[in-house]
Amino acid sequence: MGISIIDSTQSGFQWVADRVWKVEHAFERANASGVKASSTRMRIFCILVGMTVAYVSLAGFAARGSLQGRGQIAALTGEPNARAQLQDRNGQLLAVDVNDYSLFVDPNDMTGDDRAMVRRALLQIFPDLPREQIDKPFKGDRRLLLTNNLKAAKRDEILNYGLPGISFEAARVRDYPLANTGSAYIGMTQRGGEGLSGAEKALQDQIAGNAATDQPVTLAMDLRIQGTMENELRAMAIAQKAQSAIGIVTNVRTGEVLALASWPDFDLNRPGQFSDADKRNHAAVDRYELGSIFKVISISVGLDTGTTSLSAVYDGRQPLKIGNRFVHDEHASSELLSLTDVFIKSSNIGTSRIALDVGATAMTRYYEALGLFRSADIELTEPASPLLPGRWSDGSLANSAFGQGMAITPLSFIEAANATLNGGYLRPLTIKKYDGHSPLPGTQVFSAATSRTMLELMRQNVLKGTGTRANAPGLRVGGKTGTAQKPGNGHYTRENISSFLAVFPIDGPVDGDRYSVLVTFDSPQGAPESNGSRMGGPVAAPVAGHVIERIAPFVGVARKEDKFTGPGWDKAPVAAEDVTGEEH
Amino acid sequence: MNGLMRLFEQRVRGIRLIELVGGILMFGLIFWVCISKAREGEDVRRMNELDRQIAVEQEAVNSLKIKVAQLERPGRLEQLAVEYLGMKPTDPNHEARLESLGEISRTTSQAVSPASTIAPPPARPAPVSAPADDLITVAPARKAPEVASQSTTTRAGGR
Repeated sequence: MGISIIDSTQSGFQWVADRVWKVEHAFERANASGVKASSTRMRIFCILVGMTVAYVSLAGFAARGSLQGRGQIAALTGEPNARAQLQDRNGQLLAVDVNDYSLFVDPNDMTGDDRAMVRRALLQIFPDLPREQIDKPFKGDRRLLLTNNLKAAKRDEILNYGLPGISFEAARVRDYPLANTGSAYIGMTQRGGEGLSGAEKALQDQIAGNAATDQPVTLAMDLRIQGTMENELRAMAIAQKAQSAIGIVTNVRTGEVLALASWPDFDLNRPGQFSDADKRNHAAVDRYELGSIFKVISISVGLDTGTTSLSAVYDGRQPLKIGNRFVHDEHASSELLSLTDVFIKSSNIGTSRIALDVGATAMTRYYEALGLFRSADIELTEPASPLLPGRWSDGSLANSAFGQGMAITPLSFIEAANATLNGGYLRPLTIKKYDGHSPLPGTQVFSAATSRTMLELMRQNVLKGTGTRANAPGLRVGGKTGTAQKPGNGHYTRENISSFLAVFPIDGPVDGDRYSVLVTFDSPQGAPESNGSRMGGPVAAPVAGHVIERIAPFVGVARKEDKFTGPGWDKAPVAAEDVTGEEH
Repeated sequence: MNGLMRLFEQRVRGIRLIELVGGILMFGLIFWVCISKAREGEDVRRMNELDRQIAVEQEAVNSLKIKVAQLERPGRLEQLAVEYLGMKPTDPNHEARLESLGEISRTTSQAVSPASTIAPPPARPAPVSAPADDLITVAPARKAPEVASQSTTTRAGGR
């Protein structure tokens, strides 16, 4: 019969002493009651074994926790909204999380003399802060924020003064060491740390995910190419007093966007000081009727469908009548034109005839296959959808063939144009660096033969057509100029969209590494650099040529001669450029 | 069985050996658990300290990386190269391969005449067929665009 401590009148101590006494005399009791002592010993042994097992288990858990576990450290890592570093394809830093500091002043922690001294020191440390702002904390008796966005170096400098009543609070912010460089490409973040634009938004999940492992996210951008493009683009845009300018460099084989420049640009660290127009990614958001550079696509369609060939001849002697309207050539008129002439003299009549021969059904099928009826296929979230004709009549078909009546973003255009330059594959553009071995996505739209023919036509255009100003000796540059009238208020204005699409090198395997360069100026006003001209040839082509000349070493393209650099080619007369869209 | 039972009977100074061993084991385990916990606490404290140090050093590294990136900004480098060193993009006619140096040297060198001290003629451009990675610059030609400043630029050589 058990004795309960509750029932017992004994004290707790006496109860414990009784229990110990009973255990001590267990053997005597066993002997007295005739139970074998060995049985009791065995039970005690079993209890000991059980306790040992329990303690060994506990010790095992403790040792494992000590050796492997991170204990409370786990709670200290993984700050909320942390973002991984962004770097270019060569490891150059583009964006990184840093601590910014807010400075607080607490007058309660200062004596009367200290207050005057601290105030004087702060006036000296922050000469740009308004005096009233510095005085404010000293007039009250509460801890107040004096200023924020201080860098670690500034905080250390202030701490070195040993001022009483001064304290700092850290806040995680995104820092962009390159400021304006690549602003449209890199993008920025919201105050809370979420991506707001550019790669910061497009790769939000990857950037947030990589923060935990501290692995940088590598973009396809080559900072050297980005810098070169921005430099050349800015110089010409300022000279031309252009409204905006766009420069894109892509690898046509992989779809990687090596550079994406949108001018005007802005400082990613001080976005609030720039207008929305400056922060606009014109390459992704603005839709343009791009003009004659679109002939690269329409002539490719003609070649691919077999409705035209290099031996075809087009009558450019008379304007082309479509319905009650006429399509004119400004400078390539009054002659019979081969397909090469149509391209290098940028004949609207010839291109319209090709489009009409192809027909609306086939043409729009190609447009759709080239992604021209949707926004550009790229990780960026900004690309806008195209503005398309309501009905594909002969007129709208001809218009679209020479780059009017259909407004698309430059990103959409270069995605489609790349398919004519890489062996015929429509590949999505990407802002992520290609790993070099994964299968490249894409669908074949044109045949390799069409692509090869187009490359050679573009080369001829740079050697003796409208794009001679883009030629870079030895780099086998091909290209196409484009000058489109800018629509506004229901009609075409006198402002131009002046563009140049370049590709280099045009030789080598048709599906090899090759680079496309698109340069577009919105409303250039003419400048001495272009002899006062506002057209794509004098305005955009030289920029593309200079960019190619400077970036060729970065992409491993060496100077060498090609089959077009023989005698006679470089002395061929330069054809004047025409303006598209002159319909009457 | 008898051997096992004898184990229970053995006593050391009146205390059964099995109880002595069990007690030692138990206190040993308790001590080990305590030591392990103490070590774990020390490890956690040390790892926290290391984490703090890493965070501080990481911030310092990031600051330096930022500084380097700012200093290596393409526009800044180009501006400095143009402003202080007078560097310009190279004219393709003034590029040559390293292995062509001997030929260039032969074609541009003249034996010094004791009778006169005429300066050697300017270097003749080498053939334009060089791989990009071993190009050397013989002389600059094209005026570089001005960078960073928002002023208009002009180019020499008008293309």
